[in-house]
Amino acid sequence: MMSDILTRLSAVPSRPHGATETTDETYDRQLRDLVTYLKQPGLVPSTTDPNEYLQVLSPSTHSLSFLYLLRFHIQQAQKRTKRDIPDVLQPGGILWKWAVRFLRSFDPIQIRYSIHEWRQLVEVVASAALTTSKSFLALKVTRDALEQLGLCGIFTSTHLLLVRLALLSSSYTYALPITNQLLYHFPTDADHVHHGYLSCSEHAPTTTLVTNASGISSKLTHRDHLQYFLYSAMIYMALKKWDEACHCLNAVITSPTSNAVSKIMVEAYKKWILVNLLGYGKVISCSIVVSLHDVGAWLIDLNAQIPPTSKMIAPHVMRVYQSVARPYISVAEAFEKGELQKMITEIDLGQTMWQADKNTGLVSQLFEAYDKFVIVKLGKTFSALTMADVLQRTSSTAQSPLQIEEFVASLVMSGALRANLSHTPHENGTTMLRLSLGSRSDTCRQEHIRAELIRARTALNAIAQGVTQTDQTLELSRENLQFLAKSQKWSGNSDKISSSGEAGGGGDIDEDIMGDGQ
Amino acid sequence: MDLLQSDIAEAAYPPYATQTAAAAGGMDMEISNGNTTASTGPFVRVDDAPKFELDSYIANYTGRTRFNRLYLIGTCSTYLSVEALKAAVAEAKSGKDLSRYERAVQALAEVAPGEAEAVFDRQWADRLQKVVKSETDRLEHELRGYKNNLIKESIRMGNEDLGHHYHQTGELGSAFKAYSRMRDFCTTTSHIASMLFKVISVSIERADWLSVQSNVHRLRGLQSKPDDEQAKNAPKISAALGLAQLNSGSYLEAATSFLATEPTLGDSYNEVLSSNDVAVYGGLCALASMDRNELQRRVLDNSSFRNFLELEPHIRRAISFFCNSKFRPCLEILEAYRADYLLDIHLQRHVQTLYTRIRTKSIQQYLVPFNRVSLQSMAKIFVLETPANQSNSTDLNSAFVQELIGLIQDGTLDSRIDLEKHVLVSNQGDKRIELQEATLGSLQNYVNEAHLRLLRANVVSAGLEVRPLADDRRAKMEERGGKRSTIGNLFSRVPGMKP
Repeated sequence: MMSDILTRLSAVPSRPHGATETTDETYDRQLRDLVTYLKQPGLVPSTTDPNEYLQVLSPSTHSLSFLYLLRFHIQQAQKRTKRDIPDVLQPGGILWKWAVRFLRSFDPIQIRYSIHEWRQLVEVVASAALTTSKSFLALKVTRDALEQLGLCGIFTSTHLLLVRLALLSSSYTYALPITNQLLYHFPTDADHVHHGYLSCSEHAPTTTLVTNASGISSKLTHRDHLQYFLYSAMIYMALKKWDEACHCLNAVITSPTSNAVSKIMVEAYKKWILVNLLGYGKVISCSIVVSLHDVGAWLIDLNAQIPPTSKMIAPHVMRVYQSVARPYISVAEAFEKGELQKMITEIDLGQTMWQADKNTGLVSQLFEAYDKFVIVKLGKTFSALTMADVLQRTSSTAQSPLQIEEFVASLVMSGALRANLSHTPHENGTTMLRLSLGSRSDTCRQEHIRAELIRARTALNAIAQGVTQTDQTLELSRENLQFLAKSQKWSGNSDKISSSGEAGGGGDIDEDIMGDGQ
Repeated sequence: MDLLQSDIAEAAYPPYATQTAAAAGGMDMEISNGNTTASTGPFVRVDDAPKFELDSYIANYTGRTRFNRLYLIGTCSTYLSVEALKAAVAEAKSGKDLSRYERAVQALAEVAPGEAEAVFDRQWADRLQKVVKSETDRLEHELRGYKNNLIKESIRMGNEDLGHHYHQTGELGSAFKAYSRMRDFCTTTSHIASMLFKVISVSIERADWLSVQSNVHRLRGLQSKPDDEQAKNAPKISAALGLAQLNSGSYLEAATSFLATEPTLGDSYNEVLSSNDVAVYGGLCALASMDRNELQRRVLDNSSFRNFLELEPHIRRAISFFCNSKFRPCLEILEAYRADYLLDIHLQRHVQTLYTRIRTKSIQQYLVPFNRVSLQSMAKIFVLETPANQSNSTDLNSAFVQELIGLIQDGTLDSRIDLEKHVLVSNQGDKRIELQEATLGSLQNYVNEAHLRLLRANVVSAGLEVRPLADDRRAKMEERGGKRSTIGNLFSRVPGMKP
């Protein structure tokens, strides 16, 4: 009996990379048959010991069978104990071990055939770790599972889960491998995805998975992707990676809207102002945001003149931002103009607001950032000056030349300022700050540039791939557009787009999640 | 009587008064806007004694500009106020403009109430009022008669007489209209030219520089037959154009126009400006807007402009000092004449701007050959105060160092200050590194922007844009009715998250 089942279960091993013995078509049929077989009820007796089968099967070669068996055992345990999270599934439990082992080593190609079950497993494992307040374990498992699946640019509910776990467990760096990926694709309804790929093909673009029918993600609403980017930004903020944080926040605040502004966007805008100040010393006036046209409007009216500098933020959204985030804007103005006293007053005035918005931490960093940017700016005017002069021109936190010297030294050490300090030989002599323009050694620079170029190349490749995929999904080839324009079917097409949006509404997350999420 | 009331109302905001007020000590950089806005700021106060003799200065001018200049000097200079205002009262009394007389008497009464001229001559004023009124009526009546007879030449002359009369009595708006009406009745080009000159003269007095410019261009386009007449008009045209450009703040163009003015101008345009003025305006504009080579070539080596410069030798000296990189004498000369120029009706608003530009240019020029230059040696040239104050002129807080800091911060000077060795070091950045960094920056920007754009397209295509709450609620109700995963829900309320 058991051996029969095992033969069936291990009938379709995963194909090694580049193998050609079985064609895509056969493999596809075999996998579909296997899934149908696995889905029939009462495959294995409910009394079986979990270890019995799981020990024999390898999670990496027989991923589908392993997944279904594991799932079966979890369901059994849930039924037995009448709890969502039975003890055996909790960290240290027997099923936990198998689940973790599976999620680290499964075969992503096979899993494409039952991605819905995979997602449920990830979620149940994560919640098992959470119920025992081990959010860090949940984070690690989720991250490993997502990395193993290797989705390319697709946003799923699992991503949101991941960043939330990262914030919960305060282990920010663990989420970086996932948040550093560029996300740009969302699961859509399958009906207008035409492709000639089989799911098992190695060359199939991952976008073929991206249908709501595949169950790769729970139903998404606008809140999900907004939250994901906001949480990612918060992870970067915690790590003081202002560039990345700013980019994530940009993604939130420029999100397309139809007659409404999400509270998440407003929160993001507030943080965006602070992050700009902390990262750049000034609010960059949406310059990277400008010059993007509204794709939605463009789809609807092809003939409309697109102003090249129209902003991505709709004017009515901008008005909402500006009215709600007034205290932040005042602080930013004072910061930019270098009016320290005014900034301190504004910050004092806004105390309740910072607390309510949970931005006190960011606001308190403003003082140091202010000093930092003043000193960096001094470097543009002076090539050398004494600490007393520096103190006179900065602010706030430091009271004596000695304190400011410590601060400057920390800036120099962290690489934010290229300068060197020199003590005069006299006793109680002053310290001279020498600001150099570009003193990094040549080889060091070249290495740096090289690394940057490689990074930029990866990013560009990802973007290019995304553009191709999006063009396909949106049916935006030049010929198609010309054809459509000719046959005057634009009105019909735009109806279809807006109606597909209706289906994406709704979700499990409650309205006030933002308050908790700080 | 209506006429008179409107007249006085207009006089309350005389064009020059508003202009100088708007300038507020020559600090106003918004020169082009200063013409039309009527604000009531403080006048420029000039306490230093100017170098010129009032009598000989004013003798250079004829016509209405005499009063305007006298009045300006009287109200701005504390040193010359009584003398100038007395002359202004006398000047006004010899004319037919009642409002001017009132202004001059009022101003004099404020400065020197004891003077005999400070008392308002009511009898004379009443008489003048009556004379003006009857004259206006007479001229308008005559013009109506000419119009009935449909004789072009008579209508033109009637309008001209009326315009002249209005101009004399200070109704500049009506004068402008009357002169403009002449256009249709001009039969020869010389008529048109004389009409345009009259319009320009009124426009200059009204400080309507746009109109001056457009009429100058009309004059230029005129094909006048007799060459000598063209030759006679050309210098006046250039001077008027230069004046308009000076007042609209285009100093380089103004310099070009003044430099192109023929020396035959002589005293033919004294109702607007004298040859001395051309030298000063042209010289200062050129000094502020041209580099050393250009100055040498276009000003000092310009044989026709040399005639003007001979009238104002200190301007020529200043320019040649600048060309020879002797900045201190150059700046000293200019500083010595600052009071004079602040009392000039056209130059007043621009003195500060012109001087600042010249000074900035001097500093820039001075720094060209240096890699590093000590602040001490710079202060020796550019701090114009007495040597006693020079000892601390290289401190961080001295005015000179602050000026340098300002210039560095607004990007005029590409150098940095070394306060240890007290030198100014010119920046020699590595262009290669700058370029590399700029390229990487733009790459990153591109990736970011493309990502945002891509994301946006996909959000819209997936129907995930932010929509009004009502839609959501409905969708949610539907969702609640349907299947609901228990596990996915566990994470919806997790308290105590830390950013």
